[in-house]
Amino acid sequence: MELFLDISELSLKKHGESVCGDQIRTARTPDKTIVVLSDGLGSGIKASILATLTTEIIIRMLKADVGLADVVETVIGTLPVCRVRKIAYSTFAVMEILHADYSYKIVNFDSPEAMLFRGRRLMRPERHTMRIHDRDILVSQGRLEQGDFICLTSDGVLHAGLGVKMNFGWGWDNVAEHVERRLEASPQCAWEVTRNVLAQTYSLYGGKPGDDASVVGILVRRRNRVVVLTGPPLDRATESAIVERFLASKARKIVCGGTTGNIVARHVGREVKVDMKTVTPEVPPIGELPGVDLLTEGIITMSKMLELLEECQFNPAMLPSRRDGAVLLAREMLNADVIHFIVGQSINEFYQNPDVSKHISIRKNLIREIVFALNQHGKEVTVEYC
Amino acid sequence: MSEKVQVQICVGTACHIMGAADLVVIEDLLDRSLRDRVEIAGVACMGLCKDEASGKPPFVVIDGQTLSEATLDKVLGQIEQRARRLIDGDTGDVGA
Repeated sequence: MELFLDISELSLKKHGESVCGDQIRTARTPDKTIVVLSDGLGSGIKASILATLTTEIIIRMLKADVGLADVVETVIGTLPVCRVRKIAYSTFAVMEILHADYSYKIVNFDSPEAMLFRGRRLMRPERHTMRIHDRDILVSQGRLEQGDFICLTSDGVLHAGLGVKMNFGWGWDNVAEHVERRLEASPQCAWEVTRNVLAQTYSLYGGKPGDDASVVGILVRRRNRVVVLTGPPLDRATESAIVERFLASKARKIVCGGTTGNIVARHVGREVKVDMKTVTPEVPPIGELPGVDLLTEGIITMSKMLELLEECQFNPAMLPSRRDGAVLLAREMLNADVIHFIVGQSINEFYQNPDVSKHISIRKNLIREIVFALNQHGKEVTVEYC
Repeated sequence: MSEKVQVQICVGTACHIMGAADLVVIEDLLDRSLRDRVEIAGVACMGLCKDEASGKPPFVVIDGQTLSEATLDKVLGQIEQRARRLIDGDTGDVGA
């Protein structure tokens, strides 16, 4: 799959409640990506349980390859209906995207209609109404293209400001217009849009949301690939082949390690130019080398990078603004979807010296920790040792 | 262009940990009159730490000569000595 579905989901809970009555779940299988947003009737624990049930059933059935129509029929047939208000205890929106051709289907059951943006403008996808168990279900479908943005919301977003700053709340059209304006700034990730929509929701409610409010943004963009070369290979005879393969990669190319950098430099017949403006007491400076997108020192920079990723909770917007090797490396990792590490296992004997603190001695362990953390945050990571 | 004292500070892992990070302020500490006679650059790991014969990091290479266990004082002393020699050489030339 060459396109990447960058999904960001955020929720606000109703003021005074301890849990959010909206639930969002996403699942990726080799064939498809599924996003479910469910809004339990009312708010608080009961709403949360209802919404959780709904999302769980839908996700599980779709993962088991049950057809979308059957899933919806099962869920609507199972969901209890409020006797007083005659509405279902839980509403939902489901989006299913097939990886083979990026065709999608969105089903809205009493939930705000999904918004689809193409070329930064709202567009009306092909849609029809289906009747299941006497209920109207809105189904829209089509095929996604690079640059598309899909926005699913719970009604708490559309009602923002109701009775506080607006007579009728923010409203679907205004939310769509707001998203359009955000898209004009060419966001790099879906989170930039969802965060902004939810911040506006919060502000329209005057800081006290009158309902649970959730937003899911899906940005269809090119898959960002990165390859990291770190450490000299055990067998010097393999150096050339490894460097050649590294340089031939179409991914963004990163070298972590001074010695490794020199190996690449020798191979391309250039010298590493060190940028002393980027040195900090904690992190050695970065270097420049034609053909390499980022060249940093190895162990110290990578350890610091992992620390930074944890501190900023894998959120690029929360990374420090300073320009040092660790921050730049962290940013590369966060912008990437697919990361391949080529790890040389040759050991610098000096690192075993008792004067050197222990944590720099083992590259392999550090890489393992980094890979684990990146995997946990949705990155596809592969490692090869040489 | 007049000749300059070439100073290379190794910024590799071992050197950084052993104190190279403290050496980057050298340029600011140099006597003003000497600054334009000294060229300071960082260099990626020179591999000196792998050879015990070179001594211990951090390493600084001044005009091709390796200085091990480099400290600010050591490096400044060396640079100043060499830079003054250059300047004296210049004035000598003018006088001749």
